[in-house]
Amino acid sequence: MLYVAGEISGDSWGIFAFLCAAFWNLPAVPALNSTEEVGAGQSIQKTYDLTRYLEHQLRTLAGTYLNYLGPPFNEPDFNPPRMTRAEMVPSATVDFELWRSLNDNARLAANYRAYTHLLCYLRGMDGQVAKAELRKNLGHFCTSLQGLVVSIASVMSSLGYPLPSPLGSADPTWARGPGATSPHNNFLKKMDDFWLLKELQTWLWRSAKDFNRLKKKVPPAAVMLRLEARDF
Amino acid sequence: MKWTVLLALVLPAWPAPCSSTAGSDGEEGLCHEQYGALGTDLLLHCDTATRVDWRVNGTQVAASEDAVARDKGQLWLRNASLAQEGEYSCHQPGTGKTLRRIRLQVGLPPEKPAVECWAVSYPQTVNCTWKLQPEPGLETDFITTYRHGLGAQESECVQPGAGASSCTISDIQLFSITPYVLNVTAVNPLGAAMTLFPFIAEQIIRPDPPEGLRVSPIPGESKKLLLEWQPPSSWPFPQYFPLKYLIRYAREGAKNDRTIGPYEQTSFILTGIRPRAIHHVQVAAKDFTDYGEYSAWSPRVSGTPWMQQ
Repeated sequence: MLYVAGEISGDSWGIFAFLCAAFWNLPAVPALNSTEEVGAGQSIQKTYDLTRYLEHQLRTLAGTYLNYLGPPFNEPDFNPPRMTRAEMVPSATVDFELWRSLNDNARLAANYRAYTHLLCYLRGMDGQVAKAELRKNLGHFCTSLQGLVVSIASVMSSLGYPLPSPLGSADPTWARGPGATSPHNNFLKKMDDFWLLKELQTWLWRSAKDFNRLKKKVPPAAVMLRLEARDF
Repeated sequence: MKWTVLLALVLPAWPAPCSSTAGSDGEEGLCHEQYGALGTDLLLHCDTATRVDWRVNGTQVAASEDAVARDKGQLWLRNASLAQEGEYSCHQPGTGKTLRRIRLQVGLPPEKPAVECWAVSYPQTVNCTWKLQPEPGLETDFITTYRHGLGAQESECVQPGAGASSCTISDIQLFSITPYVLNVTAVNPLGAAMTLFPFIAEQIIRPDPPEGLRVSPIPGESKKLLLEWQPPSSWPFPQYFPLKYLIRYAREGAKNDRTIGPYEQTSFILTGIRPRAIHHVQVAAKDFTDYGEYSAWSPRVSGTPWMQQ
């Protein structure tokens, strides 16, 4: 499991950009070493459990973070219009018939892409938060979210699916640059954070349903061994 | 006070045939519908500037503190009450000719409806209901529309029939990041009131209670009962969105009950129960991923464990 030790400081977005780019080029992580037999079913269960855990963590984190942003973001009935900027993260919102018709590969790929994007944005948020305690909680959440991404990758790998290629270029121009910290954009930046937390919440809701669906299709007793080497 | 009187004056009194029969002289002619708010002062107008005789439901209106016949063909009803509802008619003094008929209904303008929405059949539909407190006492219509997000087009929340107090929204988007907002507007001749109810489908999931609960003895087992049930028939896709179940049971005559679960299966063997005693069982359902709320408890079903003859 890839660990990012310590914190990313606010002025090193270059490092963060590098990390995001590097992450996209990460080789597929095999779910097993040659001496273990881990069923795809067990990986799916683990991933499902992780989404529930993250959802629980997010509730606490979001509450604290929105209080940090202050009003109106922490007001319960705050319901702003979604500004029609280019969607930064693929949306979890989906029509039921479409969701139902997704094959396993598409379902997993959608989750993988979403969390990879969300993780990058979260890491950006991490560096700019003033309060140390909140930074620590965010960092912890990022680590757990990273665990989820790796878990999804391992499920895809054990089912024989290729990891999706990154959307857009490896250069994260969609990442927030130094300009985001200027005072003129302060409110807009807070709005971005607000929507990011909502995206995370809806994706975690959706993933629980996605992985529950996958659980039903792959029985836990199934054993799938992937020892094939991967080229990159 | 003066304002409420004015309001009663400007209320549209449109001509329509009134339901009750006309006065004793048998003259037909158009009847005016008039609405007044409870507890306010109302003015009924006759079509003339002179003094007239007023009758209600055929009989002379008794002059009292609350009903004063004034000049210029007006009847002043003070502190309107339900007892003053009826068909009023004004007549020419002497000839008794009917000049105008007015059907008066007394009620209240609607208050903001209390709205509740539940995704009983997630993800197909969201069902919304509302109550008006206090009851207006007049025929009240409801306009029910909804939007998905603040810039979106308004769509209709479909009511099953006229005078219903429920409506259904179909084609819900799953995992929506912006809430749906339902608008319920109550309208009656005395006024209108609107409630906005925002919701996210995943947060208002509440299935109907499980169905077909059976409590059966198990041959050879004097301390066990077999429980079996079905998911509610209104839950459309138990294979995509499974449910989990709580079981509540009590022995006949016992003070407390026990609640166990949740379990995903639709059957359960209750063990360690008292032999030869009647036990009452109920089951409730919730979305397996824990969104929304538990259903109401199913109706109670009773059973006794197997007894050696």
